[in-house]
Amino acid sequence: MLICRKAGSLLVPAAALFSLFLLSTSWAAEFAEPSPLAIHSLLLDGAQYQHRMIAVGERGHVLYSDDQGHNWAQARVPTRTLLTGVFMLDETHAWAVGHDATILQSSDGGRQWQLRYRAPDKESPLLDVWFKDQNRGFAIGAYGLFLETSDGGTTWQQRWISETDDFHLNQISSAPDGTLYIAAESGVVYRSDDGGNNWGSLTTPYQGSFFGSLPLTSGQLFVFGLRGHLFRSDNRGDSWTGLATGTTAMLTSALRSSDPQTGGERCLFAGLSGVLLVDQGCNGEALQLIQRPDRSGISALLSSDNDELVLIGEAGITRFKP
Amino acid sequence: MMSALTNALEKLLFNHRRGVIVLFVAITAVMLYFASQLRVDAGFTKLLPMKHEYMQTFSKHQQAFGGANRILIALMVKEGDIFNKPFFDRLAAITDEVFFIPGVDRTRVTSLFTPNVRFTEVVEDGIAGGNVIPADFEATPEGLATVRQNILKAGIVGRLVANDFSGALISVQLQEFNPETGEALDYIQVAELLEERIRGQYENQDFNIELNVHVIGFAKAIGDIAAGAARVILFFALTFAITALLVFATTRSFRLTAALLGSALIAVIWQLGLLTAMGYGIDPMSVLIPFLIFAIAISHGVQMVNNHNTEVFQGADAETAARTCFKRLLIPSTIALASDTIGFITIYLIEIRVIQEMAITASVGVAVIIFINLLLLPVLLSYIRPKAGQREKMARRAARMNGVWRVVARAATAKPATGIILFSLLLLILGAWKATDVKIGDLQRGVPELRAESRYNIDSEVISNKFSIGVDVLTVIVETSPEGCINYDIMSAIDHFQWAMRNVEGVQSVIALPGVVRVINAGWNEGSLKWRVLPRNASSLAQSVAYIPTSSGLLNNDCSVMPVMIFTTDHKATTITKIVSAVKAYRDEHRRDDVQFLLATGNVGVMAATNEEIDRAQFPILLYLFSIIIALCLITFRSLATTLCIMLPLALVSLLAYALMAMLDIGLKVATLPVVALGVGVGVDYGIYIYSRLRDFLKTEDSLYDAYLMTLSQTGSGVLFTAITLAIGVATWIFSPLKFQADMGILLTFMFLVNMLGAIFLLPALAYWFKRLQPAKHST
Repeated sequence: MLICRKAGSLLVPAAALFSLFLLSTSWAAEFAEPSPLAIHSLLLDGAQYQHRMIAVGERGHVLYSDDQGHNWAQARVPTRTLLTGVFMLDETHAWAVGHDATILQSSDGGRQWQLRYRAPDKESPLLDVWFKDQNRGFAIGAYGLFLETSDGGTTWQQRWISETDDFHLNQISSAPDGTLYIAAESGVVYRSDDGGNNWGSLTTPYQGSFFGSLPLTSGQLFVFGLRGHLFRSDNRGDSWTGLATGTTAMLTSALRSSDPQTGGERCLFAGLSGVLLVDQGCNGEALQLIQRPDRSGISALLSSDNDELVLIGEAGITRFKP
Repeated sequence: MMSALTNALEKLLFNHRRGVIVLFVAITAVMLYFASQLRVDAGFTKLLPMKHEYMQTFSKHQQAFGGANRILIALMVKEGDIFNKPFFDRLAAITDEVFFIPGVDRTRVTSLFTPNVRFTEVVEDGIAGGNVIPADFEATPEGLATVRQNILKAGIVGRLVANDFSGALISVQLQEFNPETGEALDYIQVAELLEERIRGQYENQDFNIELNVHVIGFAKAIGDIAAGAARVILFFALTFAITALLVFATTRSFRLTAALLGSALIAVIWQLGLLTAMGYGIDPMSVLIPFLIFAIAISHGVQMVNNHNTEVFQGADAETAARTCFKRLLIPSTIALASDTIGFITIYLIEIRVIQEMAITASVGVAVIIFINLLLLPVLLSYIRPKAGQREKMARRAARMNGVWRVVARAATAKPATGIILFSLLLLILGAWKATDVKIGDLQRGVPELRAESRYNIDSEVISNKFSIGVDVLTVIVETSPEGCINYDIMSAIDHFQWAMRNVEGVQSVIALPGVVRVINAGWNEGSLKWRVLPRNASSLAQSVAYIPTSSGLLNNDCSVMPVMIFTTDHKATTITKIVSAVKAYRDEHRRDDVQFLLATGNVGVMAATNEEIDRAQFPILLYLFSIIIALCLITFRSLATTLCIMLPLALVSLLAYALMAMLDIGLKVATLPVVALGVGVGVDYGIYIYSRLRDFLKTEDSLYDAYLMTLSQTGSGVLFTAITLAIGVATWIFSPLKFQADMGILLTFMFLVNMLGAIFLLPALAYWFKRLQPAKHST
């Protein structure tokens, strides 16, 4: 009884505050609706850790799979906004970001999600998320929006990584050596050599937007973006070589996986209009262009069993063997 | 009182025989003049239940969004793809040609060559856009390559260009009334022009490649239906010949045959004349009605001729025989024909104009028969003296038939009666079990009025296979306040609805403004999929909406109305019901004052309304039909038992007709619902003729068996002959190129034959048991 009363005395003001919160913003109660066609809805990003995969997209749709993307289930998610990025740190820890500067967190491998941050008044979507460990992470987005956390996503602080520009920060990735890259608007790539505390801007030969980068070992790096542009660097982005892709479709994401034919590695680049570029050996020498017949845009790639890919995009989730 | 009136009428009629004939000849001449001016009168709105909730929405927004009256013309290459000069030359020519077809709303013509088909693309410094086919287009390899790129950028693959690039589509909206003159559109002329100027001119000509033209849309369908309906003349001639042969075979008299067929023909002339005089035309959907009138006139005329024959056979002279027949048949014939008329009038309850016109056409026809068969025919018969040797022939035939009638009459004895009733109960149970499977609406793909293998339905199949646009669309009209499309909250509500509908089973795709705005918003952000959202602020929304013209059919001028187009996998009634109830459930659950989701336009919206209207009307129709016929029987025969003897077989046969529909996959729809009413109306005749004679003989004969045997020998042949004549007449419809006529043919043949069986077997069996149970009440 005593315990209950004590707890109650604490709960009352908390509940009052919470309900005020609910009244002022009705979104808090809005969960994504379970939809039979969620798997075919617009999905924008995917993440994988061993057998577990997570894909996120429109209307707060989050889907997870325990068998490398053969079967998917819809997660319980407290938002209906368009989710743009997802990151898995390990089997259980995952974060997702989206429009209205939404940040979600899951501690059970993507089944249930908690809302950690939301700021629709910023009028700026978050576009990607990355975590170094269970505490330290970054969420990046449009108009230079850069949020960081040191407590696993419970609290977030905003800061500017460039003193002069507020370019869209489209995608963040980490190289095996710990270097971080952010692909941004207007041909800009930001690089951090100290785990994301300080950022410098790299010059590239292109003025259009970059939508992603694919860092390899020992300083090798691809960046890609608008109108089929793909560049390669061997010195951590200090100088660049343009690659002929044979397409003008926007390139959106990349994946490094083992090559089923040679046993070595291969790099894959995906884009709009169903475009898929295969680079055997990841040296940018012989790019093979595949255009999927349905020509629907691809937004993310995951590698599955049987040398198959899981394509995530306009048509939702599809499996494909290049 | 009744007999006094009958006698007075008899004197009036037979004392002025010449006058009667002159009068009828004069009226017929006038009617012939009117009938010669009969026009075919087809319309789109006539087929719609205009008072239905959905159709209110339909007519309210028809002006802005065109409703369901669309024509699609697909130009397809037989092999290869569309990127060659002959194809583009012909597509351009057809696009130009459609502008000159009457009724075409020129602002809504959509084709690769019309300026409302544009593309946008993201380039480094923003968005670039233009017409898919540029102004300086030339069908060179370079020009065609540019167009191919633009088609992809415009996102019209599947909509205006076939998914496999094997063809392109021209979409046209028709206006039913000329906005300037208010004149109604002549659909049949439009259909002919489509056939002549488009298909005739551009299909299979001497170009390097083979091109096919496929045309679908209401105007084309109605044209094909009208063309099929014209075949009715052939059926009419066939029926006329068969009937003439049958009548001649029975009577062996040219004059009797001429009198009977002549008066039936006069009935049809009067009916058609009256229709024109009343300002109606004949609709392709109801073109069979005059035909039915002819059959009914024959069937009642046969009763008169048969009775006349019997009297003459028993020694009366032609005029006395005619007078006796007139007196004997005046009441039952009038009752029977009045029942037919009522049967037809009840169809008027269905608030769809084409059916109401059918009700008027048919009841006018039957009313005309009352005059001609009861006044003109007896007078004509009074002039026809039997030839020498005729009596002997007829006596021989009567003797032959008597053997048959003796067997049939046993239905009025204990054991067979019980057997018949038990068998009927079994049929009742089976019928009731099957009849519940009857589906409302159309059960097949394509246009249900036409056969599955008709050119039109093949065209429809090609278009729905090669393009992603379904040909079946249910459009929900969203009404909101002006500038609704730049209000995030409202757009978001529509978007939510759109997605909810997309997830309903039977929905193929959904197109609405928010979905398009999301894509354009992404376009403003370099085409990145990550920006496919509805922007929250009004100016960003406005920026995207500005790119969508009202001719897209997704919004009106002030953006207060935004249709949500739900493309369905098919138009089966079950699919429609599922989607319509999903819409209703959604709007009940998400009720809000500033956004109204209104059902419905589009062809599936029309079907939904029609199905619901038929569902609503089917029970009242049967209720009124049966209650009025029961009332008429009660008044005439003053006996509940008699009424039951007549009505129970009818009810059983109606139930069996439903079961037959379920078994043959014939849905309950505009074309088939009237059939049950017509069948009941005609079926009741048999019962009335049989019972009215049976009642007379019960007064003179000892047993029911004897009375029934006498009845059969007098009216049995008439009933049998009538049923067979009517059945053969309508059975010819089964070969009609029109599916609905074939369906009507099957059902009516069934009803005419089985009603006859019910009347000659079940009626006496019931009479036997009623007599045993209530002997006192029987012979009233």
